[in-house]
Amino acid sequence: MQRLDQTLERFLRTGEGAFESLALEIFKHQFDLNGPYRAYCKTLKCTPDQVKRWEDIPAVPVKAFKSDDLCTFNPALAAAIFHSSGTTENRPSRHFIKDLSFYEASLRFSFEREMLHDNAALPFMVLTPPPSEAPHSSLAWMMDVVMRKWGKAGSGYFIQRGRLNDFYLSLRLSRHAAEGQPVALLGTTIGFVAFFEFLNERQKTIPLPAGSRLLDTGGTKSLKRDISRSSFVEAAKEFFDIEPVNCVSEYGMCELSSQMYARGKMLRYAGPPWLRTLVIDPNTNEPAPDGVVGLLRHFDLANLDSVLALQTEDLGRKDAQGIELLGRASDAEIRGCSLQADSLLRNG
Amino acid sequence: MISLADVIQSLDALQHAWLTFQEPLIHRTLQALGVSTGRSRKAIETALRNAWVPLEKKEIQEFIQREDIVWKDPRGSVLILAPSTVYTAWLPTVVTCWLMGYSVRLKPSRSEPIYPAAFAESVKRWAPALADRCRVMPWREGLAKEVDAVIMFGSDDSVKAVQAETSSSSLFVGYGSKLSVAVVFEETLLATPLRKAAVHHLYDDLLPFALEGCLSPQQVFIQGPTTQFQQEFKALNPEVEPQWRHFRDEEDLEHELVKLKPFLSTLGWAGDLSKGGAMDKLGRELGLTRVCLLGEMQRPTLRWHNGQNLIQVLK
Repeated sequence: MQRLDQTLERFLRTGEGAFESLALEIFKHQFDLNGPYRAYCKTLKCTPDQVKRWEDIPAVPVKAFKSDDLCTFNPALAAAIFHSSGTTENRPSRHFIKDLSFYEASLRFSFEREMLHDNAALPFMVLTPPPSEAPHSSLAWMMDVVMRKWGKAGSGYFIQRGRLNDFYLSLRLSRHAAEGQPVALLGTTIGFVAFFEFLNERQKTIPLPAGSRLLDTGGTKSLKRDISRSSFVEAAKEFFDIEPVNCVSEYGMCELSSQMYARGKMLRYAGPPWLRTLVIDPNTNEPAPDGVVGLLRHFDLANLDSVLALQTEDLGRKDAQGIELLGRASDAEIRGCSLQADSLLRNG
Repeated sequence: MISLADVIQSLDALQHAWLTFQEPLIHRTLQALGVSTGRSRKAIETALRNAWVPLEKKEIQEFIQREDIVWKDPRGSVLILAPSTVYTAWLPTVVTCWLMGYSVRLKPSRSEPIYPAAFAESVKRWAPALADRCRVMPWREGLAKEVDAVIMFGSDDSVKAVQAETSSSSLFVGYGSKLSVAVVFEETLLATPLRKAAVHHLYDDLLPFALEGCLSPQQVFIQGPTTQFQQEFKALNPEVEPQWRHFRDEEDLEHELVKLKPFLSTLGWAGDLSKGGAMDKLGRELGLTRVCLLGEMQRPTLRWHNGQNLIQVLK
């Protein structure tokens, strides 16, 4: 186990490693120690003796994290427990993290490359709650890590007690702009949309100095009005004078330890070397060729102590530049023969 | 060649096995279903009990007689496309097909592959006479055209799509989009023991599949103040929130249910038992497939026809 930890740690730190052999080794580790996952693999007759390629490692659905303690260790000893945010049936997914160092190493590698490639030292203006208000949020934890590691003086959180502190954020950004200090804005997409609306109502823009950048995550699926990527990036340009190439989108979830990033208007996501994604044809359950739309299946080696292979309901397609996200599989496909009574009453 | 008696005996062995949760294969399946469905252990055990208890030997024998099932061997093959949400929904269909002499090809849902795989393994172990009449297979082009009948569970769109792929000479039975409702009459609310029992019964009906599946009561009609009933239900099951509706009297209830008529499957009710006749009549008028007491919604008998009479279609 120590050797496996060290091999993974080196991979996460340097980006260099043998993905396939490590994936198969981690699969065996998880099969041996994660009881529910072992039962799942045995039922599907996909055991470490039988699986020879990383692509064939059995993937669990995201909802698997709602039930049993899907981990290789005693969950009472978890260093952290991340909960999903959007929940169905009021029951969140729970991702038990044994050792936050892998999580942090994965985050640092990718974040530094995507957001700090020019070694800029920037104050971070964060549009998420602080970890003290969201102790089970992997996003809040991520923001805390990057703030501690890279956030220059003047960094801060601007969502407190569920509310965006838009006026104070506006003041701080204006001050940094006046001082010629570029900033990094990090937060949820819906947080930024709320701030754009705040500025728009006041017909105010805050042109930020060159070198400023923005990272958003989560999309706008929970909003009544969905906002296209194009519109979002144009708003960032209009209100902050941040160029599209400096608008970075992050794709992550509580059930994964690693994230994917994309930039600009035409988003093509790519992840670190230890995260691979297949696009799965939902009819055949096999990988689809490039360019064909399917469901995303992630293999995240940083998920050492849970399950490395995760089947999502996110639609996407792959090309040479990366993965294009295309929303979620329809509710009808997910729910099967059950209907949403309220939608019937709305439409009937 | 096997006989109908072999099938009945095999089903009996399977029923005993599947209701023995400590049996290693069943125990493993319970764990694996927790992964594939995200449901609690209690919910999964309840779902399996609901599915297998009605398959007692005596019930099977009565079913054969009452439905006038004619054994014919061999009769052909049936492809069953399993749903992802109500992962036990296809079991009565398999049983019916076997009793008629059909072989079954079971295509698991993409998102719930566990129960079909575990079922096939259990057949090999406890009902070997039926092992070659139960094959689990992935979807491929042309599969629907190779069989004598296709039976599927899914959304209306999925049902239409698969029907289009089925050969015109094959039979097709599609169980599409449906929903169910619960009704709680005022006399149930007035006496604490009755109210608490009704809350527990609603819990039983929502436990295995929450709000998913055509038998789960997505809407609960209460004849009276809903607050206390809601609070007591929430204390039992904070994770599931059906839609709470109020109704004044039976006329008002019917008026509301008529709006859902084309989509309704089952109505489960709690109230004075003298209302039974009226509820059955309402069910017929609404075209419901089933009217039952609250607490029984997820326990249809083998004789329940969810819209289409499978036996008549497959004869």
